[in-house]
Amino acid sequence: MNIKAALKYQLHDAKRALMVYYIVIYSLFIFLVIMQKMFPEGGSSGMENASIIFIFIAGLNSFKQTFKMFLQNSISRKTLFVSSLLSIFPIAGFMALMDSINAVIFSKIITYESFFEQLYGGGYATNTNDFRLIAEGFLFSICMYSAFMLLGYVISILYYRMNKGPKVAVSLGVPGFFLVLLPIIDTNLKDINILKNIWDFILFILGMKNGFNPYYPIVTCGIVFVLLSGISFLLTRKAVIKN
Amino acid sequence: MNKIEIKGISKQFGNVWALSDIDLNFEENKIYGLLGRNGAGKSTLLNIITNKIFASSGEVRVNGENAIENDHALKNVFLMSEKNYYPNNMKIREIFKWSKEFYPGFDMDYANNLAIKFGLNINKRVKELSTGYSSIFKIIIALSVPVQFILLDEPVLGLDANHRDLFYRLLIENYQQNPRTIVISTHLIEEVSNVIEDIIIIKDGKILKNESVEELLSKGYSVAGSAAAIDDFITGKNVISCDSFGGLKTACVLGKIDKTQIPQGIEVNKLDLQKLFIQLTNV
Repeated sequence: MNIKAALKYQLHDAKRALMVYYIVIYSLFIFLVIMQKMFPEGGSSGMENASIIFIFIAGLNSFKQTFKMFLQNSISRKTLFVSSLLSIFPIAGFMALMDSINAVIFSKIITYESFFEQLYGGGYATNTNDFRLIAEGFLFSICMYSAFMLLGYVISILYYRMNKGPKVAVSLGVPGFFLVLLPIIDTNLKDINILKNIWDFILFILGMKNGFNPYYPIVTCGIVFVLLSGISFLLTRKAVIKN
Repeated sequence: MNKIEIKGISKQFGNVWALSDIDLNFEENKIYGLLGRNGAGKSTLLNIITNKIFASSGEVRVNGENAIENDHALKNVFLMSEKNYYPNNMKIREIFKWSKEFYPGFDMDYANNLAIKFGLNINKRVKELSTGYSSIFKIIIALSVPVQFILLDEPVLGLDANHRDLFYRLLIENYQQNPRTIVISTHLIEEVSNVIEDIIIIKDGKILKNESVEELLSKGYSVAGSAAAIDDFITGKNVISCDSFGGLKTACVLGKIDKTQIPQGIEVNKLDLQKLFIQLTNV
């Protein structure tokens, strides 16, 4: 397997996008500093949400072009799969590190709370620079970013593999199910309490059901990552060039 | 011996069989012409060999190794596709750089030199290239990668006559300096006939002919002369084509010629490959 070259290509592909992203984040931060000077009682938080969206979109954009480029250069789907998974960790790690450092810097300059602190801050002593909070926040971010990037990647392979009909069906069916059908079911079958149960389950896997435990989402992300890796492998192994 | 072995390859798209039970070998250090009409299955076969699509049945072996999802075997084969699979936003010099990453023996100096010869601006992005230059940058990569088997799918697509001539000269030069197996899939039969040693004709997903050009052309001959003399000569023979120009006529005939029986005023030449191809694939 030509993993080294394949990995280098995938990371190079993400480098420019990451550079642009953090230029935007720092520009936004400068804007927030100015805003805070004008409105001292205001505050900001959770720029990591933007990172989650960014890395998810990066995942969405990372299959088709790389797949074609690799097949053109006689690189197998196995190598594509392995290098894609491996490339997620340095990207997610770099972003988690940047965001952890940024959270510390931002909180010193403006009123700022990281996304992790917003969710799990209640479980810590009230000191933003507490090492445990930063370390667990970093771990939380790296796991969350990895899972979201892989989710985007899997969705992109799924759409690549599907024909027009199934693509439309999934694009309409999935949001239709969650936004229309599920509330209708919930309203008509009050005994089941389906939405409440889903919400409880989400709180549980995020470690927010009984107190605040950041290791729950870390484990959840790990499980999601393994499941998505399996799906990604199955979808990649039979993917073919489409003209 | 190094070779690509194609064993019982079939490929079905929906209800259509693009390839039916193809058995074929591409031997070491030979130049092959892979000929066939549109939709005959040439590109499908090349895409299966290089793992871009999967066969419905059969197997491809490269130097004895199964080629499916095998990086080691695939490293010996390079397909210059008719379609572009490089990122549209990438500059040609970046593509050269990545070709060097994926094929460490990629000859960068040679590639840059060929770009100058063809007048290709390597600072342009793929999406900025015309059809001809899009073929040229892929030709340059194919000639610069250090692999044993080069497959060229419609390499001269969009190239003008000067660039086509340059391509054939460079191909021969490259082959002489670095002998390897080259497979050229093309529609321009007349042009390629001087370059190829062996010919494979595909029709409706089946191999129609697989022999040396010399052997194939020895199955017939062409005659030229006055219309009356030619008409008289070809009577009762298996004529595959006739062309008239003024009072002169040329005819391509299948079968052996008895050179002692040639009337005066008739000139006998080698069979025209393109005419033979048309006759073989027309029905």
